[in-house]
Amino acid sequence: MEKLKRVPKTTTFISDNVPRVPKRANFFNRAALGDLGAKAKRERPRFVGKLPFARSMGKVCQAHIPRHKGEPLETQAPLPDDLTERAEHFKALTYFLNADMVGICEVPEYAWYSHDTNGEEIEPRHKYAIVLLVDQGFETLDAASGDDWISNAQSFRAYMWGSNIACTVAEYIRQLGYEAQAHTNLESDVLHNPLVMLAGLGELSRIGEVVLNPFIGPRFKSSVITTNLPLATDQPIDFGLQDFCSKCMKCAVECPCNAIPFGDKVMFNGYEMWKPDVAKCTAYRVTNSKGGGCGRCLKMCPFNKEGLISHRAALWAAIKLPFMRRFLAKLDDWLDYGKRNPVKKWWWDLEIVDRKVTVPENVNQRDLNKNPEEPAAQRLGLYPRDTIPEPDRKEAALVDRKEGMKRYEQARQENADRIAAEKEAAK
Amino acid sequence: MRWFSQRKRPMHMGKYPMHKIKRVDQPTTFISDDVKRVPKRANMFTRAAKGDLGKKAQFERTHRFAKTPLSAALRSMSTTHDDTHDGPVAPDIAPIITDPKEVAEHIKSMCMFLDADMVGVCEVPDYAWYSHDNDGMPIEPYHKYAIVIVTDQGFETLDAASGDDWISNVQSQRAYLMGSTIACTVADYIRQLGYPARAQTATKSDVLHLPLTLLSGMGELSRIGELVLNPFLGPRFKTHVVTTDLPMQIDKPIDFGLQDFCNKCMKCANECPCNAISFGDKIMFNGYEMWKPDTEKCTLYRVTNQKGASCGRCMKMCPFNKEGLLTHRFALWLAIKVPPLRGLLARMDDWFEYGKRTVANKWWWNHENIDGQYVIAQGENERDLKKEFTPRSEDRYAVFPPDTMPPPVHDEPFPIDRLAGVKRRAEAEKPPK
Repeated sequence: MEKLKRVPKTTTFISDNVPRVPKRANFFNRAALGDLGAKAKRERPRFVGKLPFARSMGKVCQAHIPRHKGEPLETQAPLPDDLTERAEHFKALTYFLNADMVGICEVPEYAWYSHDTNGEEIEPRHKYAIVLLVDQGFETLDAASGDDWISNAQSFRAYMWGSNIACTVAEYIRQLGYEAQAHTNLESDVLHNPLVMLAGLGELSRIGEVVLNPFIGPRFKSSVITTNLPLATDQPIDFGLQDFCSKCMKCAVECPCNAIPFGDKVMFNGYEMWKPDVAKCTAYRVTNSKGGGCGRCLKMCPFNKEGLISHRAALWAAIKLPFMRRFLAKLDDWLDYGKRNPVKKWWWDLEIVDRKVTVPENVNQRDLNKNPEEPAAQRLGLYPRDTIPEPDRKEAALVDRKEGMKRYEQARQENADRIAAEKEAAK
Repeated sequence: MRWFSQRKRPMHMGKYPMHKIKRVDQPTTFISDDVKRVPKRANMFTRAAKGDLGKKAQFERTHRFAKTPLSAALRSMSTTHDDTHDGPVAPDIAPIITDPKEVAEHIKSMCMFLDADMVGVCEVPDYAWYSHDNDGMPIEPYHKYAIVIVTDQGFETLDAASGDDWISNVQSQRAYLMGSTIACTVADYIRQLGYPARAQTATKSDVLHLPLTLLSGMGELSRIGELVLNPFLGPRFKTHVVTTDLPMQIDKPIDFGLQDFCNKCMKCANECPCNAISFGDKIMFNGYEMWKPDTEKCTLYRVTNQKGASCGRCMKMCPFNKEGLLTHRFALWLAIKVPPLRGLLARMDDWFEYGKRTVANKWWWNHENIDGQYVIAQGENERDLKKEFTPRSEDRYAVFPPDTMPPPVHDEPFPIDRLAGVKRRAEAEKPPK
């Protein structure tokens, strides 16, 4: 990571007025409350629990909930004054605890949720964030289609380790006499995406809601510790991903529910980004009847690799030689990357139905789509801040797909106009 | 294009080539038919806590064991898993594959997926169960199989440590937390499949891990005595067990020539800061023919260490504790295949100055809890490498066989009788030469 170019600002443009959002706006919460329809509401409670293995990990994670927050010790322990030395200490600690990567940033206000699930306001309270990434594991994903009966267990493997590390580090900082809070998949007062970017651990990708790291691709989960203990911060990275993603399209081609845009970036809540249709994506993951969850975009991304020397060489080329990028994305198809590797399939397809472990009838068997049809007019929905339900609403607020598509079209048009105007001005 | 790729290697085989190590029917340590089961009260850490090792050890063990902020944090995390060790078993047996070999491979793969370093399976002999729990209730052996999960304590950090400085206890606690995460997950998964299963970890265990580690083929018993040694990780690991009735194919013990190697090496005995590891021959102890350390000295040193938190210097200095580079793998191959070289290889470790601390890897801070406040610790055990050989005579070690142990329930101190222990050692049966 020390070899990558650092930049003062994220490669994704983030405007000065990003609105804060309530936890109610999180699409998994919206699914649970019925915003995505009756089926998604019914399936949401068994989303993780229908896989026996993911359910076991979920229980271990649940046990960590009391360790997320806590009161710091009254007396502050003597620490080195040098903020870099402190930052290095905490990074080394997280690596010792088996994190794959770690970065530190200041927490912008917009990274804090505005309201919790009960509608209570959340006050931004800590200045710094330690952001850590845990790999979901190449080997197992190598055997998976991305939306078969291991998908959610892969997520939870990374969540569970992340929670182990984040809660330990938070508790350690509190022992040293400073405030600290762990933010994991089960309980988080912050949005992780902006923090992962700001801490220099990746760039926002075409997948849209996924930050991509040059070495582990999108194959990770993040956990965060916020604290008021002053630390030296890192800068965002630039490894040419915005250009790569504009040329690649593999995730958009392979997405089983066609939720990832083939088109250009749009402005969304102050971010200029490739915005996926989160309603489609969430509904597919929650109601998937031939698997548990979905992470096919992270399976098929050309950055999801074993990390051999040849892959490192290709990565070097992708970063240093922009004109090679389109070719490298195509090379992935020619070399059949993305096909399932049966040697590594170790899990059993099991599903809990009515409290009984059963063998599911179907499994999503997907390999590689080498001849994608031309993307016709892709119908995507956009759900900006002003369309989301009020923070404390307990009843369903059905997602208005028609309105969402209209908003997407509008955003596309605005962005096209803006680009045209910029070109005009440049002339 | 795919040099060094591991994509053809099935998941259950893990990252270390354990399949290349010779398997044998019986452990290389002789275990008689007459091993006495012991109560949890006899565990030396419990004895320290109850006052058997004196007032100071009792205070340190009960009030100051997690005396660094990191140990405290890790321990507090581990205790959250206490309620997930055991739980209700699904009423119906799941329609899973029943071939014991496939089941064992499935469970091993799952552990590997959860970042275990090695996994083995064995049947649990009766003597591996504690006889009584902490309340004095008899423990009836309740499961047939044990899944033994091995997690590395981490080479890099140990590389910077002396073994008995302020990170020692933290390294153990880290491995315990990771292991309990894996063991609790796997146990819960098996219960969902309709078979009973219980995680047995550092915070809560009804079984002794050492014999299970031997029987599942994860290592051989070493000169350190109370430590099983793995050819690839050395003694640098912790074990976590899941006991269960899920039928699985079992593994066999391994033989990589360690009994002969330990005979010739002596590094752990020479480096032990409290002289608890014997330079002499094996003795018979509770049915095991083993190098028996002086567990009182060892526990006392770990519990009352004032210039660090606990101690693991034996595992730091062992020649099998290596980074795992190609050269180390080659030396390992020689140690296994060419017995005459073993003495030389142990000496080579000194010549290359393995065991010295690598300052660049030191990342931790020396904080110590004094009366509820963390301060910078006053002293620190700074040890590198002791090249001169200073053997001690056998009459300075004590043993404490089962008939000298406290009864299952005994809240008062049950003072340890050192003099008697020394005498018992002198009388202990020696193996035929």
